[in-house]
Amino acid sequence: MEAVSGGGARGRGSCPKLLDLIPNGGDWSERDGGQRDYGVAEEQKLELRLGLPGGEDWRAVREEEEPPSVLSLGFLPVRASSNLSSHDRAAPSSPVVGWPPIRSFRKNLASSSFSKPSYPSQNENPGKTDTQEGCRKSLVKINMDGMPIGRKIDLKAHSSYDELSSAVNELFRGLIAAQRNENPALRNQSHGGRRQAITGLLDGSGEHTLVYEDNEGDVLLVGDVPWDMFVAAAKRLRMLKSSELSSSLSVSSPMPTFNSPPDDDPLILLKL
Amino acid sequence: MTYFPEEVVEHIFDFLTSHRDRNTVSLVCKAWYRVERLSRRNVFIGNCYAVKPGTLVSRFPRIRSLKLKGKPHFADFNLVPPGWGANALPWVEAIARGCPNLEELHLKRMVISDECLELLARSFPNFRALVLVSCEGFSTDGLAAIATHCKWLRELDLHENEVDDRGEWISCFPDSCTSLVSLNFACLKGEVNALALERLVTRCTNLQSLRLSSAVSLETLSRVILRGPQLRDLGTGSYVHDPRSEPYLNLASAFMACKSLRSLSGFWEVTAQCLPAVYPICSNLTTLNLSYAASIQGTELIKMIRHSRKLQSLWVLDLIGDRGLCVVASTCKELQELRVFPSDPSGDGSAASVTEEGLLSVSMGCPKLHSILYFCRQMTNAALIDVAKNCPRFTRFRLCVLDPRKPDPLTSRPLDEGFGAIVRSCRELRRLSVSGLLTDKVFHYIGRYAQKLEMLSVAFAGESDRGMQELMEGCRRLRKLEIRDCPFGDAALLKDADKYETMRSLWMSSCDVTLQACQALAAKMPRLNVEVISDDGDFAGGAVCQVEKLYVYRTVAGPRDDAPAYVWTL
Repeated sequence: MEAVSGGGARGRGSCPKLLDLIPNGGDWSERDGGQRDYGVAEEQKLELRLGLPGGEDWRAVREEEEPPSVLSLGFLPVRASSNLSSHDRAAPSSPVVGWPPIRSFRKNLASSSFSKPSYPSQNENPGKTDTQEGCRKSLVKINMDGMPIGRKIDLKAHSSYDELSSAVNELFRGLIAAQRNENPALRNQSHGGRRQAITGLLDGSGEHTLVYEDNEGDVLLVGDVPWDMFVAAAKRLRMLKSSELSSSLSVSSPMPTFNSPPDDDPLILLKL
Repeated sequence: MTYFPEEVVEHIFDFLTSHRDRNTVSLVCKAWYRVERLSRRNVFIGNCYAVKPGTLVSRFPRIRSLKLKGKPHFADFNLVPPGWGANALPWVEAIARGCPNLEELHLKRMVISDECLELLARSFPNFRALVLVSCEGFSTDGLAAIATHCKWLRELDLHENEVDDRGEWISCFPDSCTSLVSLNFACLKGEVNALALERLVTRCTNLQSLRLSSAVSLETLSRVILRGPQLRDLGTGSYVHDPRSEPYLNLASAFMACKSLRSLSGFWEVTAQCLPAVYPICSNLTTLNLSYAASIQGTELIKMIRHSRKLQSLWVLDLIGDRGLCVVASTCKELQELRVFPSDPSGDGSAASVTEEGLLSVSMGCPKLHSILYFCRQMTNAALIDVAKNCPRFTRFRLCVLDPRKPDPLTSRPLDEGFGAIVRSCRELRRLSVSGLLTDKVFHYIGRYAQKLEMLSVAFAGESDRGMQELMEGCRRLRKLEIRDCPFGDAALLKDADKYETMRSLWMSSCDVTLQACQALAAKMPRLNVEVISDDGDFAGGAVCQVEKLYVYRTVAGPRDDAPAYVWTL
């Protein structure tokens, strides 16, 4: 009997094809169409020899056999069943080396991009940006009350609250100094324009207190839970003015939130 | 012509700018060969192993500019293991000895070390331009050497290289350096001294092209632009800031003063609300590259496009979507080149992407389109046939359907007919990449119709040796052929061995070629290097073992002496 063609795409004859017995036989032929061809002759012989019960009479088989039994005979190469699974999925199950053909740095663009660090505004949905960040690195936004420009800090780069505290200090010292230099009014304040270290973030003794927003949206004081738990849970940080913290503890005043616009008009602060 | 004094002949040759023309005249007679070689200023070597550095230097002692290409193209996609070769050092050493007047060096896909950069910086007193594309092996120390020692440096262009960060280097440009015309360090990751950068831009009054890295803040950008309103080409750094802040407002007004800006790129990280500052520039742009901007969403992209009516070249991520491409089609009537890159290459297909619709609308709306690189989720024959009808002037057509071997979703047929239509219609096609489900038929079409084709990239396509054979028989001008994961074997490889000497190179990986066939090819063609790469450095399988990767190229230099252990030259 003449060899059975492995795929309709090759158009090698009109005899009933083994693959017609399988549901979506057309799809199968396409799947095989691009596969390596060198083994096909072998396969075809196998298909016939180890064949379906009843030997070479196709038509009888078609009525009686259920298509899945062809697969269960196991001689259709494993490749075929893996074709099925890979076709079902939109992408190959394991990444193919060098595919798609783009340079490595492009593959990392999406994950290393900091998504949209957008600034607080009425249209803003802070949840949107944070989900992307949370999955990749522990870079969280940190805002300081009175400072219109925030920073970002990588929580995973630190291993303790003390380290965090000094890192925060480093991040904002420069900005504070810049702010003071811009605004003559502020320059004459008690800090005298020199770079003041930010201290007492964690124990309430300093001018600012560090709070964070967790994945449930609650605002909590930094320092209560073990460091690792904190890193996993913290989505944003904020340095509240300690005075605001104490006043917010009274029943009537509003909760400090992460979405309220800064108190001071940034344009005045930066002295246009 | 032989009655003319040599100076006259040389002067006439000065009008020949193309390498091909100059190569041709040098073959006419000995006198012309002599005049040509001594007056030659620019040399282009497409494969650094095709000729020895010493040969170059002894034939062309007076070159001023050299362009070299190293690794095979598929090295860009990690198909070539590290340590393969393409080292720049032997070249720089040879030229330093023989052609001290070198002014320009362009390297693509080569390995260049800091020591080599230092040697370069110290050996050529007139050195003006260094262009490194897709290179590796160096760090910012090497760049510091260039900045320090190249007194007349006009151009330093680092395009998509892998560079180790060893510290700040911009401050190494001496105060006396005022000659920079083009500075591109967009691919770097390390810290940048903002003040040094500003000072550099201020004193280099001829600066026309400046591409910053992601470490440069928007604030620094605004100051830099103020100092350089004459810029024609700008690549932003990190485009993140509070849109209500002073630096942003300064930037917006600085942009208004940039009347000459024609090319824009960068946008490594973006605050969407800061994009409006760019709109006034968009109306004058001819080139826009947003392909690094993974954080600009479709709607924002569309807004930028709407302002950019004069675009001739657009590189963008598929975040733009089919809808965005429709906007491109209706807005950018001058568009000649379009590249759409995948934003989520390893994704499961649920992310944004483009389909045949986007390509179709662009082909309908942009009559001057002739070059395209398009990564898409799916493609249909019908769309390709229409695209071929709409754009018969394609010179470069590279299509990548992200899912290998994916058929036409409408008909479940292979994409043979679609690509067939492209090659039949686009008579000037020089470069082609095919993808999707393809049988031998597509190669029949390519061989038959793509008569001007010079470079072809094939992946996961074909059914038998016939495919490749038809290709080799048909495409007379083929120079570079790269194939991966196709069922082409020994018969195809050996069908027309002589043809490989007319080509620059052949790459075959994960095909069905055996070692025996490669040895036969090597034996027959002594002027080819037949290099077999084994991923695990093991050639023990014997003559019938399958060859994992094969790279064949013509050469007058013989087998190379710097091949690593996993490369075997047969």
